[in-house]
Amino acid sequence: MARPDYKRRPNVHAEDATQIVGDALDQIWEQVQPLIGSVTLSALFASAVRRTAAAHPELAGLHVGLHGVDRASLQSAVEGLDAKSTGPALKELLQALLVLFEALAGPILMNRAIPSVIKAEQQLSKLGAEA
Amino acid sequence: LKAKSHRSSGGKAVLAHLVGATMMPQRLKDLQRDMTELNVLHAFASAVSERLDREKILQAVSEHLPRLFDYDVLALLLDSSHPEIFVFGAGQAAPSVVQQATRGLLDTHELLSGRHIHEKDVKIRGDVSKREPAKAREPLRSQLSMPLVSCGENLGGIGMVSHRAAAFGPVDVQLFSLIAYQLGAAFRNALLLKETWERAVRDGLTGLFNRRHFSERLEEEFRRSSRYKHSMSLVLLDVDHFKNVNDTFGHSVGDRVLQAVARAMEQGSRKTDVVCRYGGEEFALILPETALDEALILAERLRKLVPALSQKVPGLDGHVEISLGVSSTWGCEGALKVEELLDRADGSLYQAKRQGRNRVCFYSPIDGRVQSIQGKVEMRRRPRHVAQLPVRYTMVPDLGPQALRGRSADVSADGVRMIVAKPVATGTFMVLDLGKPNEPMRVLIKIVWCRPAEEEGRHALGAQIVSFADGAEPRFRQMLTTLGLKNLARPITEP
Repeated sequence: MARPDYKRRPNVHAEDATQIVGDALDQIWEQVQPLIGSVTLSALFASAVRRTAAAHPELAGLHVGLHGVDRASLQSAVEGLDAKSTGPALKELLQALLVLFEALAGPILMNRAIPSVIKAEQQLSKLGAEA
Repeated sequence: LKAKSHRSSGGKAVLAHLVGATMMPQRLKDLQRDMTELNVLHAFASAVSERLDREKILQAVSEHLPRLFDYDVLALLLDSSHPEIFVFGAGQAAPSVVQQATRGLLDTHELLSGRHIHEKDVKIRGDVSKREPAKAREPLRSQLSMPLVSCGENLGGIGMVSHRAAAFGPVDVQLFSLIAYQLGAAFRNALLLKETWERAVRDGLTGLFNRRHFSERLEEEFRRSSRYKHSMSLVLLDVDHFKNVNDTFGHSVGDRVLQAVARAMEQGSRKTDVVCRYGGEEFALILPETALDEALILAERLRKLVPALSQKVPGLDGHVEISLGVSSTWGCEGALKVEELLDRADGSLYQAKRQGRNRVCFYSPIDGRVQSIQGKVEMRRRPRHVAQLPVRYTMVPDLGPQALRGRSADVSADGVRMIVAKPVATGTFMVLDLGKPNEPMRVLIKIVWCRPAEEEGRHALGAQIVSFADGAEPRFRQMLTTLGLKNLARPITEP
């Protein structure tokens, strides 16, 4: 049986963080999906998750379907994150998406996603400060 | 107030009408463009969904996409164990533009799939060698890429670049992603079809073509050779004492031996040859456009290659040898049935086994007998650079009934080495390469078979002389006279 990690801080803001990032991802999906379709966008989301999971393996379980990110898997992924790394990890996820959008179509896709990303990042920073 | 309000709303309506009227041509234009795009998109979607062949899908890309997008270069990456990039429009673009387009596509693919592909590992196809026009020297200002995704799998990507700033807008993104989606599905279907086909025609253990495919291809090649009066040959081979290998070293070693034989056959044959596992430890090679002499060279090469490769098989103490039977349509084009060709190769293989194994036997169309070439023919590889030289003379000597019998090995005249012929069986001789390019006389005599001329029972020898160095031709003629082979050379073109 694995020994509990006593140094790990409980992620008390997991629910709030999930709400913030989940909403941001939903908004991005709504903005970008009409342009590039569900299949491609789903591949981009999955790619962003994979890239972020390289540094934060807890996010590897985040499931992306043809309707966007699965909230339940997001919730459990965020709960798996250390409280300290929740904000940075989720910000990295959003940034990874922006990088992909920029690489594919320059500002056309990125500009649609930026407002949601900025808003979510501000909320996450605030949440981190409260913690 | 009411009147003012009424006037005001009436004015707005008039204004709206006027604006609408001035906007009409633009709206019409937009509508026409939309209709055109829709038609092209429909044509493209129909084309790629109907075509299950990769090359045909690429053809649809090249036909339809220039009508939808204004790009300098379009590149399409198909990721696999041997990644390929197909470049379209490169004829109008500078090499640097093509390079930027392909590099950009590879970078985007790496971002998306996490797979790094080095440029040198990619086979780039398309016309990328044309001259650089002035337009394309401008720096690239716009690019648009999309992944080729199907069933959650990233198959590659498609990207286009332009020297114009903001060349691609949201509508282009929308259309391009639709195109990428269609292409992803089409390439996946093509891939699945190919995989299914491969499974149906390949042998699971060796990866060679299976017997069913062998039968189909044999019929097909035989029909082609009969129709165009070209030679084709068939080689059947069997691993000697294979049962002993299984009994002594176990079946897993036996399997590895069969795999080693398969690799030797692939290595020793040419790209155009059809290499098959005939069943058990028997293999077959279909050699299109190949006369008997060339087939025997190949068979002999395999006979030597298999022991060399099989001794590296883990668990096998020693090596295995093979027996081969060869038959050909050579000399009997049109008068042979495919079953006879197969029977002759099979009979020759049987003879090779009976005569002690580890040898090549062949069916001689001259006397209808099965003969062995074991230990009688020294195989030489024709130098590639010689083969590429133009033919200057064709020799068709009339040698007389017994002229070549027993004559063999090196004949020297005036310092020029000439290997004339070696008897390999009764009535048949193998003529080997003659001369070297660095020697004063550069001559190639193509390996040919001597066979009786139709009525007189004389031997005819066909050969090709490539070229002569200065002053070498008279010496060559002198040498032939000395050998009693004068008046053989009939010029095709004057040297």
